[in-house]
Amino acid sequence: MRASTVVPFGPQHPVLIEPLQLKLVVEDEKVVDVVPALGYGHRGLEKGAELNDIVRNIFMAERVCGICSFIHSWCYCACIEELLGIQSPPRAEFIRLISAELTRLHSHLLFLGLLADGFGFESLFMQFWRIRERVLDLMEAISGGRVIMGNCAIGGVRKDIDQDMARAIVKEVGEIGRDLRPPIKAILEDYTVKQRTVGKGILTKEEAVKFGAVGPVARASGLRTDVRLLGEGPYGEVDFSVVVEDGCDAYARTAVHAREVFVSLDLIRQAVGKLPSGEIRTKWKGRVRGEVIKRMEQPRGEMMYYVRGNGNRTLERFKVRTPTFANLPPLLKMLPGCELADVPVIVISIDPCIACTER
Amino acid sequence: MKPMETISQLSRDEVLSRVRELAGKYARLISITCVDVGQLFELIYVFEDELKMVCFKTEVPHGTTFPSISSLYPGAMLAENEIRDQFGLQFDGIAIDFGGYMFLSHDSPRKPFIKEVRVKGAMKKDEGESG
Repeated sequence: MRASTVVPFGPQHPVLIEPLQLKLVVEDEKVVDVVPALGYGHRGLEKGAELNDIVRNIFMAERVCGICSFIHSWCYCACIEELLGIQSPPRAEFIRLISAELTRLHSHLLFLGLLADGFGFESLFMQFWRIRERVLDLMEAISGGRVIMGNCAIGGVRKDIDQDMARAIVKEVGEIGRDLRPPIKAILEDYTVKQRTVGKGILTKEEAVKFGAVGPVARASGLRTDVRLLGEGPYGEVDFSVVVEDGCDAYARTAVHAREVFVSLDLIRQAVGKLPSGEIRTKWKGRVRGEVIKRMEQPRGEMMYYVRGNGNRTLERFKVRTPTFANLPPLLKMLPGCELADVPVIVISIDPCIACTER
Repeated sequence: MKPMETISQLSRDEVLSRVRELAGKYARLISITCVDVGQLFELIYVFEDELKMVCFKTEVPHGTTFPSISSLYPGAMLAENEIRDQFGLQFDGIAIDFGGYMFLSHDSPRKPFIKEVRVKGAMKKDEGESG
């Protein structure tokens, strides 16, 4: 009988940008079981949102995650707008879509860089992050903020996109798409990358459903799931295809991220081209009463907000279910059976965001 | 404007049979949310069936337990442990039980989401806002 050893992976580990601990039960070099230890980044944001008024909560929501921040503020504002019975103007909705897809773009480039860094491909890591800087420059030009855009407001957006800016976005998006082809070709076709990712961290389609996988993790297991498919808001007015792979492994998850980059670039181009004229913000006054559930597609997958108000200045309940929260149980399914040396790549392949998981 | 999602009210037994039915249809669990409404907790279950949301809620008296659905949906384990952290509501038969310390440490405030728990710096609940 082989002896088992528990190897703590994290909370501080070279491949983890945020604190998560996985207690890996190993026999020789093989992982046989895994138990997560959470709570290192817990900030009590849901409770905090019950103490602030509904306007200040926009900034709270935007800080749930430091990467996919804009979509948090959009989802929160959409919940409040639904409870108030108001609608943001079409132009604002398209600016929200552009901001959200820029967020997805920089998040996916962050992931691709971190993955390359995770298996020691430093030059590829730098190539992805060099291009990601240009996406952040675009976000800064639109809103003034490089990551936390602070552009979403209840009833619309704070800053408009003028014609010069629209032309600059289209031009830059085209150049980013062109410049991204070589590094994406490298991460999808390089021999060493394939050796480190193909067949690693298998999650079958059935397991993806049973364990509740979302976003690129689910789509890499053959599930055609994406909240944007519901066509809510401006997504009903643009054309896009959902990227689905059936490899069910770390390579398939990488491929989904890599191909989605071009979908986001195309969505930004379409949205700028269709940007309606008119106001960017609807005036409102009132109290929030009732409950609402909303979902949006974050870079890491489906996110759900539950917001409940009882007519007071503050909220009765504010609940956020982030994508990594849903993708942790699938990760616990992927790891048993793998080699200890493959754990970092498998963990990175779900693109974990612990700050938003723990909130 | 799109109408709000309807959240149907079910009894304790109806919740469990509904969850079994959804598991049989390969519906996906999105989230379990708890709200403290005084003497009761409201548990709100949200699933996705063919891209559509299925939402229902049930009431659980304070001081009682509720059956875990983690045998049908392993992912429910995290949501149920989080509710135990935040509200102290225990789930019977949970797959991995963190005992109320999944996110909270041993020196954290206990059951911080219970309405009776007062938090320093809380705003007064009076007027509405505008923008």
